[in-house]
Amino acid sequence: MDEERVGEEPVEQKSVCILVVEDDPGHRELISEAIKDTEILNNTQLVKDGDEALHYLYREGEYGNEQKYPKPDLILLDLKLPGLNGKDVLRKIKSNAETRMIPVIILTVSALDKDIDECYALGANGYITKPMDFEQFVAIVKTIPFYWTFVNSLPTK
Amino acid sequence: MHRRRLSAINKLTLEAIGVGFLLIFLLECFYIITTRGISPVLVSLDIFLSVLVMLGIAFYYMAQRARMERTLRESEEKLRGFIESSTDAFTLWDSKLNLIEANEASLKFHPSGTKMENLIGKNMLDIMPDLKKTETYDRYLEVIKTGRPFFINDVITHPEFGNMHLAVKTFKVGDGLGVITIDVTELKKVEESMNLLSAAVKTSIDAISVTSIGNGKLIFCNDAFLKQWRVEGDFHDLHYTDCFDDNSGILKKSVQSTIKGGWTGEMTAKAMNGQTFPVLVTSSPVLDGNGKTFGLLNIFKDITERKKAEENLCNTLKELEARNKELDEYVYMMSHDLKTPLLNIQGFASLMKKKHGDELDEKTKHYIDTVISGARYLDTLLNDILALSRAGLSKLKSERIELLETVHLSLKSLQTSIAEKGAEVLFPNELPVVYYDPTGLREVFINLLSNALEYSKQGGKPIIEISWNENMNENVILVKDNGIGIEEKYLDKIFQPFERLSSDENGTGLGLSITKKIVERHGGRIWAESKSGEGSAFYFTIPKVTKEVK
Repeated sequence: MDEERVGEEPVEQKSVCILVVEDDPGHRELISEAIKDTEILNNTQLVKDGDEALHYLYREGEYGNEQKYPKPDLILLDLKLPGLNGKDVLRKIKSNAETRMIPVIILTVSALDKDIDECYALGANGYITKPMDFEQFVAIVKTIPFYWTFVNSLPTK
Repeated sequence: MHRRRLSAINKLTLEAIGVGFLLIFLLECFYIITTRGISPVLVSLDIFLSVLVMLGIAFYYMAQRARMERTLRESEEKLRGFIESSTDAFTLWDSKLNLIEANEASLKFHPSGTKMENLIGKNMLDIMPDLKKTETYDRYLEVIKTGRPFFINDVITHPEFGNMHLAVKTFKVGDGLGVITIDVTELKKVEESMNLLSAAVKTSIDAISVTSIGNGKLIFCNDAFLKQWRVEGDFHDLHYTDCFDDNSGILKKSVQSTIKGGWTGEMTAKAMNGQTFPVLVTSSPVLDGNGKTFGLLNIFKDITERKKAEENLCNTLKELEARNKELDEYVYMMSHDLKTPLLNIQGFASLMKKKHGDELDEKTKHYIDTVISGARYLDTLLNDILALSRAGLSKLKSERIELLETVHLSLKSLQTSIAEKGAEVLFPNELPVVYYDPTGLREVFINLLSNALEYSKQGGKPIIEISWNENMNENVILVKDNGIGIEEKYLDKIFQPFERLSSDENGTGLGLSITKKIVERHGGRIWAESKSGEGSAFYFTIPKVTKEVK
């Protein structure tokens, strides 16, 4: 589908790589469904936990192939992850020179003030509570890549 | 003094005359021996001097006697004056116990108006008929018989002054009786109150001590002090500083403050066996007759139990806080874990309808809709549980809030359902300024208003009125509707979690519980007045505070 679009879109439209870190397979699918609904050309990568996210970002193991797994332009990060949790992953990303410029948007069910404040303190670029209503969920998730990659200018490196 | 000198001069004159007489006598003897004759001049001079000496002696003794009589009379007058002016009663009785003499003071034991002349000469038993039955009367007779004086404490009943306490001294005078009666009623009263005071101090549960400022040693302490400090032996050896475990220097400070006027505070007492215990001390200065502080009066309350209770309470509170936090976290985890599959249920049901809706029959579509609305309800419920838990646990702010603004904001967030129901919401142009948690206050209004909307009458136009009243300490807010009302028997139940009075699928039954929790955490009360079919009135109070806590 993406390949089909490449041909259709103007040449200057670069495909955006979005890394989705989400442990729940259903949510992973719903997020990717929502992103598919956007008009933005994208290459969405799905990983199931914090360890895998870090492997991806630092090209470890199967993620060594940069062609196949490009450096993401935007990260959607769930907070409650098995093992290494969302905040740990966020801390790692934001303390590494190679990855700290990548915008990280927290996408979680938690609406606790404590979580929101902690994430911003760790350098999160946005915090979105997952709406439980599917229509709303799609509407909101769609706005994330739209804002971050279309309205907003991303870091160039 | 003057008189004594006079008599001394007289004596000297007499002695001079005597010496003259002796000289002339010797001169005459010498003349007789030398001339063997008698000189008529010398003899007559001698006789003259002899007469002079005898006259002098006579005069001297007469003067002496007159002086003695005068002194006796004077001292008698003094004695009489002393007896008359004495406030103690002096009475003198003859051997038959008839009254010979009495002073004015003795009249006070008789009915007022009694004249002295009516008493003199009368018998003791005529004057005091009640006396015959008493021991005192026998003792009087005994004194007359034996001559041994006696002292007795007696109580008489005066017709006007009631009971009088007397100290009676009786002694034999001649063959009669002298009686001195002293009224000790006032003394007795003072003594009784002193006894009472001393008994109270002695038996007080609180330890009491008096310390000398001079040497810092105990002058007095009561039984409780001895017991609590485990003092064995003489407490007079105890130094005040030995009675405390003082590391903070509070003892010195307390003594200084006490001398200046008084001190109250907590100290650590140290018993003689080394054991320590907390005490609440009240110290005040003890003044001598000249208003100079000579000691410290200390009253000690053993507060071991209170301290223990405080500590327990503190621990319990800490534990409770920890538990609450645990619960908060538990609720959060639970809601997270429950919400994750909830999104899947709703999400995939919606996707199924969206992507394959055309292939499904109406019945299946209805099944899917039921799944979606069930999941939606579950979501509302989870949010309310979270809100309820947070209403009780989150830190409250206290900010200055225009109530009118809160009402506007609440109405704005409810505008859809207000429009749907065609409801009219009335509120005054002016509402008070309060100090409250802004989110909490909005939640209270939203809950009460949506409750009023939810339970409106079928078909009628819902009218909701917000009004306000105030008293000394609080603002009372009223949210009144013309809805279906609440049966009186349910009025107590509506604020309990999960109590729902209708089967409306939108309500979770937690709204009023959340409201109650918010109101109560702000120090207010909430209650409802209603009758089935006649609308409901919800009142809640906001304490008047003017403190901002952010």
